[in-house]
Amino acid sequence: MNGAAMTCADFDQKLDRYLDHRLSSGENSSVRDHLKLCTSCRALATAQQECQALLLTAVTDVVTAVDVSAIWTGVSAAIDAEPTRKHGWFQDQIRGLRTWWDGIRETVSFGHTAWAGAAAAAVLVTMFTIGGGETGSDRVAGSSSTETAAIERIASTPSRLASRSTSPSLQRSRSGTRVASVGVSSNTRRRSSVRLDKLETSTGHTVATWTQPKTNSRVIWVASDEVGAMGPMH
Amino acid sequence: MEYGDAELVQQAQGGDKVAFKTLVERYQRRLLSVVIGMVRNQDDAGELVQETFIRAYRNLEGFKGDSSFYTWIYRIAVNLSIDFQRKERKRTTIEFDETVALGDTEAATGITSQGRDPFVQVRNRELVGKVFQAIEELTPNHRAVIMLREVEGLSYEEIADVLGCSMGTVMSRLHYARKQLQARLAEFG
Repeated sequence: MNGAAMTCADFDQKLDRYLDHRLSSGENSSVRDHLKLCTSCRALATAQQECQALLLTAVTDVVTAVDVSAIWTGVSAAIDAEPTRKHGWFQDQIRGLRTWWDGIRETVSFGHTAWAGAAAAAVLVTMFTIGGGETGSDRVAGSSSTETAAIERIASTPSRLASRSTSPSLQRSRSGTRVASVGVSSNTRRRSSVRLDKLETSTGHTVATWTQPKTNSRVIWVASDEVGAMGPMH
Repeated sequence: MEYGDAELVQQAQGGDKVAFKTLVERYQRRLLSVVIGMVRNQDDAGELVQETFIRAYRNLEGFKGDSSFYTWIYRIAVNLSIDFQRKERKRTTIEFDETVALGDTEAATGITSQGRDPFVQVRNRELVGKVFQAIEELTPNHRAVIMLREVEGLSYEEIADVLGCSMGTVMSRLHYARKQLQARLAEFG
């Protein structure tokens, strides 16, 4: 090498930034001066540029020939299998709860499901406390006033129900009024009725909300098509 | 009117599937360029790009726009590709020996070159085969850096963002990868 201001080792350290145009004008001038004088470094820079061009050409040639239509087809199918993205606060809570509940069901044995239900109830109380301030009617879209009906509930208090229920579900009575019924252990069987704030049936599950008269606590009741998948909790 | 990435992301976050499709169409080939260079197999690359967009969609609500959308999806794609390579390393090496090493680039990449000049086809096949063979010998991290820089033209800062490493690491890896690539291609003549 013959450069007065730059050695070949210096050039080698700067080669990448030179090729990527990241040198200062002063450094750039020094490199250019060095390249004018040093044939081996000039060959090195040329070879590197050729290598870059070769890589870009090779990959571009291959990718250009690829039919990419299958990518969106697959993505679209996956998106369609996802729950609807546009939803309200209430649906968010339900979807999250269902996922969480499914996780619990997978990790606890059948005999421990009641305890899991009680834990779920505790968490739900927390969630509603945090998200408080809204009324039930704010949360659920699309419910009609006819669905805001009194239901008969065969239960004790919801918190006890959460730990003792066996197969909660919402059903339509003979008269067409939506009613809720739940099978409970025989020693706690008691009839009571509450007024629903909202009732919604969608995506394979039914959701009812009401305010517990005595305790003034908010109750959410989720019944899946698979009977007993999730019990009422508050 | 063509929307920018940020607007499309916002629309997609609101449930607009068409907006997300626009993003997919905008970036699928660019992602494919990087991924195919990393995993070398067209089918695997296509699946990884598809999985990248699926994961992006699932996590779209968590995307706050701190980085650009494309660096975000590059990050997903590169991480998926690196994981894939680690799992498939042995199998890939065997495939490499049986296909590219014999000059059968079409079999290796799944790309056919019908309708081209036969001489150009042969030359291009050999050329592409040599390049991919040289890339194959780099580590996944070096491969990622060189594909993001040479093929996608990302800046050092963007590459550092994608790979979650420092700019110094990017420069160091790029320097090494370029040297290795050049040396390997020089051996091929």
